[in-house]
Amino acid sequence: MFENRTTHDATVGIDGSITPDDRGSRAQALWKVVGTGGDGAPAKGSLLTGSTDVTLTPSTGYDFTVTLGFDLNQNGQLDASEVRRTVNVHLIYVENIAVAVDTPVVNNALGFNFYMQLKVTGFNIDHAYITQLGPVC
Amino acid sequence: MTSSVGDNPAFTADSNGFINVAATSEEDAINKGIVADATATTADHTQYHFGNGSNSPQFSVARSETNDFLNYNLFLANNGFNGFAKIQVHPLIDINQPNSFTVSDVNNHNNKVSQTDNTLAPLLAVLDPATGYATIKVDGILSANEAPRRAEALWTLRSDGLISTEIAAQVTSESQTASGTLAQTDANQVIHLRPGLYNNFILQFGFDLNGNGYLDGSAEWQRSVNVRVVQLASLNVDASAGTISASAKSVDTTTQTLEIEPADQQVSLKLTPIVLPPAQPDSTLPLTVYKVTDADGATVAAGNFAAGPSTILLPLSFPNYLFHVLAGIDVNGDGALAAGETTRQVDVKVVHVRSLSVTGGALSNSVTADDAQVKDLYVETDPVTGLAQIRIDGEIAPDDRESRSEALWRVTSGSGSATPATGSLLNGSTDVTLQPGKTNDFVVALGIDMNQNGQLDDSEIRRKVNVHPVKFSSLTVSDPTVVGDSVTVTNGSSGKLLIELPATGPAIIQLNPTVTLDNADIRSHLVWSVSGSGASPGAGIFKIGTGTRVQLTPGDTEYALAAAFDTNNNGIMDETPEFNVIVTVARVNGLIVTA
Repeated sequence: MFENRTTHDATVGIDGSITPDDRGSRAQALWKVVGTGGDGAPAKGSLLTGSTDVTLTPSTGYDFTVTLGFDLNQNGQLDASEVRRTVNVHLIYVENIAVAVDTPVVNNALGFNFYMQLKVTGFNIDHAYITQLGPVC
Repeated sequence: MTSSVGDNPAFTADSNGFINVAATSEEDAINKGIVADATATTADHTQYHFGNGSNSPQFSVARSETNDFLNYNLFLANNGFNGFAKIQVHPLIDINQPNSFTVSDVNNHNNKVSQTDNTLAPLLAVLDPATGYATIKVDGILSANEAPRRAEALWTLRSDGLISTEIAAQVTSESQTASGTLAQTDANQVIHLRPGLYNNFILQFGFDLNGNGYLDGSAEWQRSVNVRVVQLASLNVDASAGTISASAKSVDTTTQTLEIEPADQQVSLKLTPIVLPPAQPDSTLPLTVYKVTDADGATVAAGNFAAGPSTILLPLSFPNYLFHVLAGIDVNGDGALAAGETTRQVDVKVVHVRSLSVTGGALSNSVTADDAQVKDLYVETDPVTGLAQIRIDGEIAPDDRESRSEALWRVTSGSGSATPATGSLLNGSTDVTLQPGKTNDFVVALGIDMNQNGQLDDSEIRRKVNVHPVKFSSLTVSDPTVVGDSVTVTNGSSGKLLIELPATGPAIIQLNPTVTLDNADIRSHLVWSVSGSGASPGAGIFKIGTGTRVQLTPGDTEYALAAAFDTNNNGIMDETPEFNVIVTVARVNGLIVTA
């Protein structure tokens, strides 16, 4: 998930598929978003109103867990025992792209066709690096 | 001259020197050793011999055929006398003697006594129940029975030592006089004897020898009859059937009634009369007779009490339930109880408690106890007031107002209360409000107030129903596999429950009712049903212990659970639901997260 270049926030839409897909069941189908550095906003909700946009704000961490289940014990929250579906969301912040000429090609004097094979040497990602990408032209 | 009469007590000498022959009749004179000589005449101065020095004087007197009141001039000779002294004797041989004195019971002409000697003759006069007194008639036969002579014969009535003037107040107005003569007409000789303080009357009959106008001594009481007024003072009827008994006593002309519920036993009646005065060994007591008839007047039994109390068995073949026990003195002496002779009556009503019906709340929730087995009724209490309503009714035979008024019911409880707690079937069914207590159970009992003490005694109970108020306060439906996944609804409310369909197998719900004094019997009267495809079982009663579990295998995703008190006792949830729970069987198919 790529974050907003300016705010560094990311937004995800959360929805679910349940049976029966009625208001009563959706009202009792709860989700919540828990992050290692902070929770989503909103951090929890139900499927009553359909898909919900949740803002993920990385602070100290970039990993979030979205869970879904029925509030079977009717305590108003989704307990661990009630979680039936889980999605892990990882935020990726691309700071820059380093590009280098991998194999310079110089054509003959008859033309100025320069062909360079560029090589992305890496992403400067806050918490991860892609060390190898495929050929880029 | 006194010594000349010897030792014969029939002779006495008076102050004039006459020897009186105290024979009261010619027959008496003969009996006393006076030999009448029909050939003698008044002119004869015949010598008579007392015997040869013996104490048996023998002499003859002559009597006139034309004048009964003769003075005989007798010249008696005494062996001890020197010579034959002639003594003029003026014999008072009043040969007009009371041959017999008859006292008869007017109501029973066969009941009379004719006394011919000077002993006391008994007579029992029967009390006429219609008038309240006995009626007797006096009569007599004199040796000289002509009307003028009858006027000389007196009778006097006294009672228990009272002289005749005192007894006058005790006889009735029809006969203000307590004395009279035989010259009176028959009507005037009828005496009514009303037993009150005294029921023992003595009639004296004789001649006023000393001429003072009344009979005043034993010398003048020549015939005596003791009249006692006899009456059937009471009739006691003891009815028994097995260990059941009931009694009634008739002491006046009011018909008494006894009721007995024989519980299919043969009913035995013991009839015991009390006759006053009590029978004496030497008296001839008029028979006290009885008759027992059924409701149609047919004679069931008849007899008398000559041998004491009588016992009869009633032929019980319902609806033969009413019997009349009649008794009285056999006034006319025909050995049977005539219509006018009945003085005591006890009606015996054999009442049968057929059934006791108790209905709780809905009319369909009813049990009927029609035998000795105690039945049970479960009644739901009002969820708001906590009270239970029952209706009590019964069936008895005969089903008449009187019997129904004697058919009593009562409602008892260890700690609860019933309003009203007692009543009868007189006005048909009765609605009773039960306020359950700690024990929560009530007993409705029905029987006949046989001893007529106004309450239903334990021994009188024939039918019984135990009433169990049931307070079905709430119902909890839960997923037994998920703690907390449950819903509890109160009586009259509804709720929803979502349970999750497990990965494998059906979803399960568990049903648990909350009832007061929970037990299997009570739960058996609580029914439920689940509508929706795949519910198994789909209906039933609540089980005790772990509760009732229902498998939901969708099918449907929504199931309607209903529960109620089984008012019609058919074990089926066809009542208006008191509890409604919608159970949703849900599952999560997927979680969608989009960037």
